[in-house]
Amino acid sequence: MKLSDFFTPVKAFFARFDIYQLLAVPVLLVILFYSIDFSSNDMQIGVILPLSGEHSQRAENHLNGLTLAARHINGLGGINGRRLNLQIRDTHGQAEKTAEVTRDLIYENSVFALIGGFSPANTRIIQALAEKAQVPFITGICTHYETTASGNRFTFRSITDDRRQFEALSDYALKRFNSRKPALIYDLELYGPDSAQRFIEISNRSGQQVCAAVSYKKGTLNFRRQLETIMAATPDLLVILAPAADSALILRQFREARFARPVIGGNQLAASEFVSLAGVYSESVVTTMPFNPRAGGQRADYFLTEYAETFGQPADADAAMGYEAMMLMALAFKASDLDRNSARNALAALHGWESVAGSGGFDEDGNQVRPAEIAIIKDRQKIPVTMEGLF
Amino acid sequence: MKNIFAARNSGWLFWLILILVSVAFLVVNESSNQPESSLSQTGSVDGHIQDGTTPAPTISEAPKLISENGEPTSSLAVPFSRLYKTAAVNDILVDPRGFVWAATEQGLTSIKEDQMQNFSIEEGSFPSQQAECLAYDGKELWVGTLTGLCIQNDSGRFVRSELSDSLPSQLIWSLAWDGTTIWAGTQNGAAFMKPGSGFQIINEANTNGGLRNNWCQNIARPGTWFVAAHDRGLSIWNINFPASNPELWKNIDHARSVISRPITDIAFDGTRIWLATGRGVLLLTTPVEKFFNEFTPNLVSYSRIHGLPANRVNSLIAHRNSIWAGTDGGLVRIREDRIQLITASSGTAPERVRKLAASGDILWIGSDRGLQFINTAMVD
Repeated sequence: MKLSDFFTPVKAFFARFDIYQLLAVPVLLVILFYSIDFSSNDMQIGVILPLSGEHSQRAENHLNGLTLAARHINGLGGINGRRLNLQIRDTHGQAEKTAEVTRDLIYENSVFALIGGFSPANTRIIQALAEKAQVPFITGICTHYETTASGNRFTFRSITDDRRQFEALSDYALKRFNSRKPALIYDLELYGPDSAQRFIEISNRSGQQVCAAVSYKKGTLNFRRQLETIMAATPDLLVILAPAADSALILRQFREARFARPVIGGNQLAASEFVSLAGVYSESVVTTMPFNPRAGGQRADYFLTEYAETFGQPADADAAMGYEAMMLMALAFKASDLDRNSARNALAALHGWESVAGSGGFDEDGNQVRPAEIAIIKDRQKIPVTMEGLF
Repeated sequence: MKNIFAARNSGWLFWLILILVSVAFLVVNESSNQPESSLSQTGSVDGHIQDGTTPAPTISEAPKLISENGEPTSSLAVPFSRLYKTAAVNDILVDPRGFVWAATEQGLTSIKEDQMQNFSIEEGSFPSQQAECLAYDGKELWVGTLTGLCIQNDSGRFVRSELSDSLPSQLIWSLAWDGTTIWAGTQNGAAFMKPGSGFQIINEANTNGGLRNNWCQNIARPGTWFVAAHDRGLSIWNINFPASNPELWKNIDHARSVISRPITDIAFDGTRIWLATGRGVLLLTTPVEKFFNEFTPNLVSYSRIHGLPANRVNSLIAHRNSIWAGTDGGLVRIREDRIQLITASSGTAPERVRKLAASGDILWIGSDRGLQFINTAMVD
């Protein structure tokens, strides 16, 4: 068969069309190509964190956990064939910026869900806008007890809240140190007077009497006034409810002023930032432990190894909480019809799960039911008190 | 079809089909990116509240009027207007000139005599991505956004007001006009301003704790009282007395009550205050004129078990001797302890109502998809 024999019918076929019709085919293909939003097949997840500013280190660790989880999910083929695409936004720790990026993610990027928050104020802004637009919102980093105590339907929290942490701390202080007269120092942004009041109430219930409760304003570097007030009250234990960096500074100044009584605090003291800033002074500090690798078993081992290989540093509680939050979101998406309402319903139905942080579940308010675990810092490592005797 | 392709002089028809196919493709693709909505929910409110300043307040439930099968006690069918398509509606205002203004997630929209005009950042006619709240002071329209306060200039465009800088925060959640004064609820406190002057700030610090929290999400001005719904509950101040005296403030705390947070709207029926919450409607039983001497924050709750189609209430308005509530499950009317679901006898009722506003007999309804109205004179 000659080559010309092959082309003859082809020529004859194309001869039936004029030049405009032939040109229309590539034009149609170009139009179709630009019409299809190939990225719309991805599931857009909004991530809102203070990636710059005072709390950037903890936010970065949290983001690393989220990113690693998304990478794993996408590596396994995504959710029903759809990849997770994280839309990451920095709030700079500012309320106005938080509102702006949250609004953009919901209405401009049409995200399926939101993850993030940090300070109670910023978390509440995200929550307010998410609830209004009916977008599922999960925080794995904000522990303020009121976030999930307000009858909101689309808000979930995967980290153990302050209330449970306070109960565990108060109980441990009583049983381990026989504390009857603790003193409290708290910040006005991350915890505030509400949380301080809640701690005092919980302490009172277990027969303890808080002898001094002093606050400080953001940016305080010299805690001499607070120190003098607390020392004058001769407490038998100090409770620090403050951001990690401030907590380290407070601890240093108290120890340098020869305050020798035990020091305990919330999950801020479990952050790697606190241990690195407090240095040797962190020894024997008691903290709550949002992430106990032993509770997570093999999942945690795998996560820790993968995290260290990917980011060149060990994973801390913030990273683990980020990983868990993203996995929960994926779990909900998988069980849903891939829309916001059914994703919300699927999240609300998650009454029990196993994750890198161990067993967990949401209660009817969308709050984590996992009890707070207590750890003691030894040689800059957080040792669960149940295993303290081994060290 | 073959003839069409074969005919040399029919190239224009081929192009037409091609363009139509492309346009159809674009429309389908765009519509798939729109946010989803609609839901139903369960739950109820009951229990006790305790307030630091007032004795033993309680929440009691409204008479149960719901039928055994869970349906609302009754429904009323009225014609719904056509949908004026806008982005999700945050606030609605009808000014005395007859303009209906809608603050939306894409800016501002006005409607007059069926003509719609959009003001948006893309068109350069509005300075912010979205608009949150509205107030009209008799001369000017004030628009609160999440990036500041805006007014309309002589050219008809909206610009950021210089007075915005005197507000405690540029996150403006609510605005109110009481006939002489503009009031603003912001992220960092409330503020008020008489025309021609700057804003005076009210916050936790300068009220010595009278205002319990600075995040004023909703405000109202019933009678001589200023009501702020914030992150810790409700703070009420008699404006005839100095705000700096905390003893003169009345407070109901969320933390010690079962009032759901946030309070999404406040309505005043001429006697009493109604609150929209995530768990239904609450009626503060103490009449406003008795606030000063006999304030007891007793509340009556109306929730799904009483006939609301959903517990989340987004908007409340007192209109024609009734309270109208926009919920996640549609529009309802509360009148003499009866809850009636408003359904559409013609047109389509929105599944989820975000905001309500009234003018004469017309009730405007803002939803995720735009604006509609009903004639409430037809309801009775």
